[in-house]
Amino acid sequence: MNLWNDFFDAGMHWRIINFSLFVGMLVYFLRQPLRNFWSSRAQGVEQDMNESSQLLRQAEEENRALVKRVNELEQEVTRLIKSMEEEGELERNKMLEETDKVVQRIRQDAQKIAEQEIRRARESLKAETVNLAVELAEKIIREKIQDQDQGRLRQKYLDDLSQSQSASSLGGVG
Amino acid sequence: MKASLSRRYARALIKLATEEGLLERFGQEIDRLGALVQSDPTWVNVLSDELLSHSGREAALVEIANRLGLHPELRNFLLIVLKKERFSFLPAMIREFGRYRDEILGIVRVTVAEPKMPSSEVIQKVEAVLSQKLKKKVIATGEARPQMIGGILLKVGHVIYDGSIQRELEHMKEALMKG
Repeated sequence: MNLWNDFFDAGMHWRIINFSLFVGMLVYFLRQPLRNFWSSRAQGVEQDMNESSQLLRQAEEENRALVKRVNELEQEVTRLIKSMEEEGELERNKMLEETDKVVQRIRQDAQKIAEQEIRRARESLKAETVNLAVELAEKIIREKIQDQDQGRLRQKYLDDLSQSQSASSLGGVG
Repeated sequence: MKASLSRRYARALIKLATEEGLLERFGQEIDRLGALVQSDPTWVNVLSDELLSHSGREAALVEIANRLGLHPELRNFLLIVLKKERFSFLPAMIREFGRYRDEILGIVRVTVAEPKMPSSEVIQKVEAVLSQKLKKKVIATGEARPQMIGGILLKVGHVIYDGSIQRELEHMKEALMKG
């Protein structure tokens, strides 16, 4: 009983009442805003979660796309390496063919030049031989020719001339 | 200038000779004159020398004409040439006259070349053969060409009939080169 009296005596009961009133008022006035706050907060969290899950899906998709792209790139690199190797092989073969052609052409040219030189030398030798033969014949004729021979040559030419139709057949030059 | 003047004088002389019916005679006399010019051309130079007196040169020309027995008309022609101071053109005039005369008379001049000077028989034979072939009067003159080996070479105007051994050798050479 004393404790209860002390309590009243000390005015504690007013304090409790004030506090209760204060709390009641707080509850009364803050209930709706808090409800709104928590509701919007929940919505925001839900929206954030949705967005997060969407971002996650997007990230996963992008990850999958990147993985796919990486795989494709690996394939592309492999294909490029293969293509370059093939091109290199083709280029090498082409160069070898070109080299073969050049070598063949050089051989043909050399052969032609050699043939020409041989032909020229042969003709030169032939001309020299013919010239020598003609010079020798001229020398022999000059030594051996007699007046009777000269008479026969003259007579034969005049006979031919009187029977000929054209001058060119008898060495006639204008 | 010299050639055209020479041709003009030669044509005038040809006209005169044709009109007088003396073409053959003038031709023979001009040939004699030509032979004299060829054997000794100095007298033409002397008569062409304008430093000498005209009367003196004229007298000398008359003396030469008389000695050659030239027809008076031909002598007068030469005196006109002298008077016009064209006597240095005389050799060319003689050549042109000969050419015109041969054309008018249908004469073909032929040079017969052989290693030794052809005899008159050979010349006559050539004249006969060519006259028959060309249907013209042929006058042939001989020429010795020691560089020829043998055979005969006939020069008819600008045409050469080559029957020489050299030509035969050339043919042989061509045949050997082709073969």
